[in-house]
Amino acid sequence: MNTLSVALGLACLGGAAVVGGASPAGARTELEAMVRPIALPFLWRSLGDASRAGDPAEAFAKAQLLLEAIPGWADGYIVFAYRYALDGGDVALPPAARERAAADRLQIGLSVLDRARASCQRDEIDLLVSMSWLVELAVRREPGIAPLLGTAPAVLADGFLVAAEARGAGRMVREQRLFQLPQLVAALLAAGDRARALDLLDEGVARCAEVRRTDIATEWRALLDAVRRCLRGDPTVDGAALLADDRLQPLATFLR
Amino acid sequence: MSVRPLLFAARHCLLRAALPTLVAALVAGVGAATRGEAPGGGAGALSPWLQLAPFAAAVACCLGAIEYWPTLARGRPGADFVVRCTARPLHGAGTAAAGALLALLSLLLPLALAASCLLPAPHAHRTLTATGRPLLGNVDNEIAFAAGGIVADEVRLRAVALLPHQAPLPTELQVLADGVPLLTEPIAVAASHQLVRVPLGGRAITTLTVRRTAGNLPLLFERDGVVVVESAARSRLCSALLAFALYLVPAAVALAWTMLLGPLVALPVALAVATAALALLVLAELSPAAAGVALAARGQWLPAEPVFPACIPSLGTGLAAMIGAMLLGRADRR
Repeated sequence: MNTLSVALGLACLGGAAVVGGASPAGARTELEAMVRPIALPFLWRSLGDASRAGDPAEAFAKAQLLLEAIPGWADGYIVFAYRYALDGGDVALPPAARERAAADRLQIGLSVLDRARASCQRDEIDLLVSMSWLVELAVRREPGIAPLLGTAPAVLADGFLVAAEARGAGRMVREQRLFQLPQLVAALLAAGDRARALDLLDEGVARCAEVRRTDIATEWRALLDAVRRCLRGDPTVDGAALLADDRLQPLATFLR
Repeated sequence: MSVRPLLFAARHCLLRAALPTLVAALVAGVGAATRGEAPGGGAGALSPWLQLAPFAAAVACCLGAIEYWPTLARGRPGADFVVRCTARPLHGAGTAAAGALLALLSLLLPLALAASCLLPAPHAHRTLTATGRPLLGNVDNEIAFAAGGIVADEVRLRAVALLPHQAPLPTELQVLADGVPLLTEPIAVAASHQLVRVPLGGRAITTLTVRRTAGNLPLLFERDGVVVVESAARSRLCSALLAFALYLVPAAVALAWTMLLGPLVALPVALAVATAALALLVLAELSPAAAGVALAARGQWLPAEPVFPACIPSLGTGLAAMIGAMLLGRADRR
């Protein structure tokens, strides 16, 4: 009798799956929804315990498990990746080892944020912008990691903003890219990519028209134009005035 | 307690629990191996996976015992016969529960053996207590901790940062073992619970001193603020066994509650009571089963940690439930 009941139950379940158009992805979603209320308290507690008594790598690993259970939570991904990449280091390590560890943490943080783009598609632009900021902040905190990243930090950070722009990011991202142009140009010049650096300056000058505050736009356009002309060897540009500008310090070696 | 019913109950529970435990162990193994974050996080990151199989084993053994013994739920076939035949107040339910615990122990042994391969070598972590006020602030620039000659590999500092009266500047610390500086240059602490690991290289220390060299962030070293990791490595297998054996505590408490409530409710409700009690005890950490596994996964030697005294409150509730069940059983027999 029991066997018959179970067989009938399974047959009904199978029939319902066929009629309802069930798919493996749908089944997985249903299963996750069932497991989530059981797993979440445990995962939160486990994360809290790891943050209090474990090391930052353990806390980040447990945060990722937690985030798997809340897949659309982009802010969570950003917070935990920042916390790990920026504050997760062992300050008592020798400088070289500390820099290597900081570069590794940055790469791990970026890869986690990159993976999160698939599950947080509505917040993809925020994730890309946060990836760009993460690079900037990590390099600011540990300047020695720049040569370990394989790509100049400014180029890496700009790459994420370009991707965000391509996905329809708003004015904030476009202006951020515009005002970070000197770092990017300096990185390209240092890498010997002079043509791309000059192209970017041309694009930057054109983009100044988009800045809402006209006084800022005019000043920045004049500055970028002067840099462009100086790099092209225009003798009429006052190089000393450009070197005196704090905002152009990344370009100082190329403006002399 | 007679041995044969105990062994029968243990065998029944073992047969019922073996497959779920194996499946849980396989899921945990595959999960831990395929997840990208686990290697980066070290063995400590494995602790959620390490808990799956013992938890499944505990649930399955408890449910097996309830299903096996007729007096653990109301209206079961054979319950009246058992009540008439057994003169004891629990009508053999205690023996069935002991059998379930025996089965659980026999499942935990191979699980611990397998887990010991993944765990780091355990070291005793000793918490140091400050000889004076544990606060580096405006008054004290130095705190001394008595270490009692521990031979240690590492000191771990984890202070709580308080707000200063002026604009906050990270506090720079130098750590001294018996007056000898351990760091080539001071390290900055800028946030609460920032972990600072200072290598000691297996030296014996009597007094550890934390000295502020710059900055103004007051640092409070709470109970676990300064921990010394002993050099001597302990047994990995023993650590895993002790950690997994802690799952016997929530299982025993859940069965005790079922002994109390089971005779009043039908079988499905009795099963739900046991499952809920186990989930509550483990997930809400009312018993230290999960904490024990997490500590072992971090390489901490359990006998040096307060996990075993932490079992006393939950065991106390279990004991109270069992006494209540005995009183009810005695009244029932009259």
